[in-house]
Amino acid sequence: MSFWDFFRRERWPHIFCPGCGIGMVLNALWKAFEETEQEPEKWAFVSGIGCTARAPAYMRVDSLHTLHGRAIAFATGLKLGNPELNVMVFSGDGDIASIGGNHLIHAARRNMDLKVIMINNGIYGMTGGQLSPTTLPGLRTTTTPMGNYDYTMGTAELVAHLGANFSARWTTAHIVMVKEAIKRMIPKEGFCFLEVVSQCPTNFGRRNRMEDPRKMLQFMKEHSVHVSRVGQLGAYFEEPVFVVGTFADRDRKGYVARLREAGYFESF
Amino acid sequence: MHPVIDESLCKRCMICVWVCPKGVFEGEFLSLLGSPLPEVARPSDCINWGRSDTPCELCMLSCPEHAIEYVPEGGS
Amino acid sequence: MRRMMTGNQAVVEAAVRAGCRFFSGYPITPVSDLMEYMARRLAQVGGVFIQMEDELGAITAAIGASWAGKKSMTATSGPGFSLMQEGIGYAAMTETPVVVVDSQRGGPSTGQPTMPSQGDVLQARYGSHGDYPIAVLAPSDIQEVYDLTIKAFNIAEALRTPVVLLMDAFMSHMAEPVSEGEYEILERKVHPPGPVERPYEPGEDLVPPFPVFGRGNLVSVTGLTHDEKGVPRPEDNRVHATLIRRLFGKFERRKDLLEDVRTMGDGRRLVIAYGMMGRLAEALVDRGYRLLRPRVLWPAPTGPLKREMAEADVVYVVEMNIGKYSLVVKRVAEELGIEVHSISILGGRIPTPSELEAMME
Repeated sequence: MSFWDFFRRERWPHIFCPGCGIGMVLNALWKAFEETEQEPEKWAFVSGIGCTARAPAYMRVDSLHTLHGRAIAFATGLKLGNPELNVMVFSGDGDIASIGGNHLIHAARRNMDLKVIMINNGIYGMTGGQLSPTTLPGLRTTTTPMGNYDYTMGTAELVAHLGANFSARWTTAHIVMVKEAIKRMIPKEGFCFLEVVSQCPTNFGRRNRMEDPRKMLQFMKEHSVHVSRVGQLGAYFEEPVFVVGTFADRDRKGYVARLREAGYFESF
Repeated sequence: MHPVIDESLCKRCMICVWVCPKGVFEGEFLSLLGSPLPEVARPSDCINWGRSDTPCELCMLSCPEHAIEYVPEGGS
Repeated sequence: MRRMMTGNQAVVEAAVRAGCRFFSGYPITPVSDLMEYMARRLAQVGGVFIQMEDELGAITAAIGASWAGKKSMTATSGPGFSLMQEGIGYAAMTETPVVVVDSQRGGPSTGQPTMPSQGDVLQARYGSHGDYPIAVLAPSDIQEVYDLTIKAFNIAEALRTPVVLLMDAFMSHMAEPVSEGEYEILERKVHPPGPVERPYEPGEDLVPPFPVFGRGNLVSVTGLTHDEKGVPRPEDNRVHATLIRRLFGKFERRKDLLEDVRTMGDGRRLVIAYGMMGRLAEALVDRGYRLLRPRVLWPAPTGPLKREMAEADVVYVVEMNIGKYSLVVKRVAEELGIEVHSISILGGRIPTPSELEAMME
């Protein structure tokens, strides 16, 4: 499967700004699908609202571009409506961690059979660069012009704690690891979550002396610490650090299997 | 194999220049509003040069526009 | 065979009969027992039930399941209905069949959780932002709850639209015998498997066939203004106007399904009432009143309203709210120059027929 078998060439170029990390993740996603020989017809993509959420419309798959924050809830209905369908949620940090945080928490708790890729650019890119719950301390946004005094949310750690089968965080500066994490998620049942820290040169970099996308990538690379080197949860609450790596890789029963055991899906 | 850039897709972000461990690309970032096209300055330095497969795909995976492909030596 | 059912049970039985195989909900008085009944019933028929984390999730999961090709529904009351409005607008924009039961209680806010109301009659029509059509049904007894639930699914599937069934706290729990006779069950038109170039190209009835996910139709569905290919075109004024006018157009073409009123009596004093108040007002027919009882509240039954009003000297609109539906009646009555009195009942106590008659004098 070539890249243009998976993406709609007729809708390219995409709307993302020069140097945006979303396109990098699309490459990794396609490559992971290609290497594991996935058939796009058997996948459905669901997204919410925001820059990242526009991505599934470029894929040659069934895709549902939904409401702000509700991607995981829509995907839950879609998956339970047709358990044979592979359902992946592809959306941003504002969508999944902020307004959609409750659905994330409960889908992870249920071990709902969904793959979720959350692109975390630490900012509300589409609306012009406002603070996100994932903005690192000290960095400037349009709603924290003096620098961010708010605390940051460790989304991948949270999902791991809730019992999801897979949770990892990487950055676009580790694009091969992003691809490998997606490959790891694909065959797993239950809730699989991948947070990809990504650059937004236009609305984040520009306000933090990193308009050059390469500076943002360098920043992410230099401020990443592997989870195996982190002593305790929250060790970096006060610092601009990305803890990367795999936080959970389990094989608990997924929600669909548990529903079947409870007696749903089959008539009696 | 070595990389080539599709000029019609490239948005001139220069991530290829940053990501290549061998310095195959050259380009100058001026601003998000526009920079000159980066070029494949040293294709023969590419890890994939002289091979029929592509063990290193960093630039292709890292190009947000998917403007980079690998072609056999001398191709364009 | 007639079976005793509460309103909530009748919704569940009729939904299953209509082919509903997915329910997502969140507990709320007075529909919690509807959910409980549904949780058991769907397991018996090979369906799926999920208790979501909130009403935002309940409506959106139901829409998601509809895209998997399932007939799906959710049920709630005032506060939850408010939370569902954005999802209802999404269903209207993306033309997703879904049935929403709103068992009305006194509001605003938490209000009177266990008392009946008809305060959501305008919210059911206009609750989500923007311009969209929607069908709203109001049963007056438990047999009608059963019949109109099936009708709600039929409208949803035939028109690819969200449909609201408006009940109230008393009707949810009142029990009456219901006969489950013969019903026509409508199914949605679907695209055959394989890629579809123009998924939103409408047929003659202005309803495009439905692309069920997982059959290789490879469509991108969006709540953004989109063209017939499904491509987002939010900046194009013509694409937006064409889309919205088509949504309304498909309602105009199905008067056979959507114009549904009951008329009784032949006096010159016309009572217009619906839902629980329609049932009460039937008692006035013997006292010389003419009754018009819309079973489909929205789209507003303009034709029957005009016909009945032409035979009347005075019109009363009886409803358990501040006088919301009377606004609709007044708009029609203005053209005919007829006087309209709003009889507004607040607090959830149902008056006796004599008390009602006294209020009208």
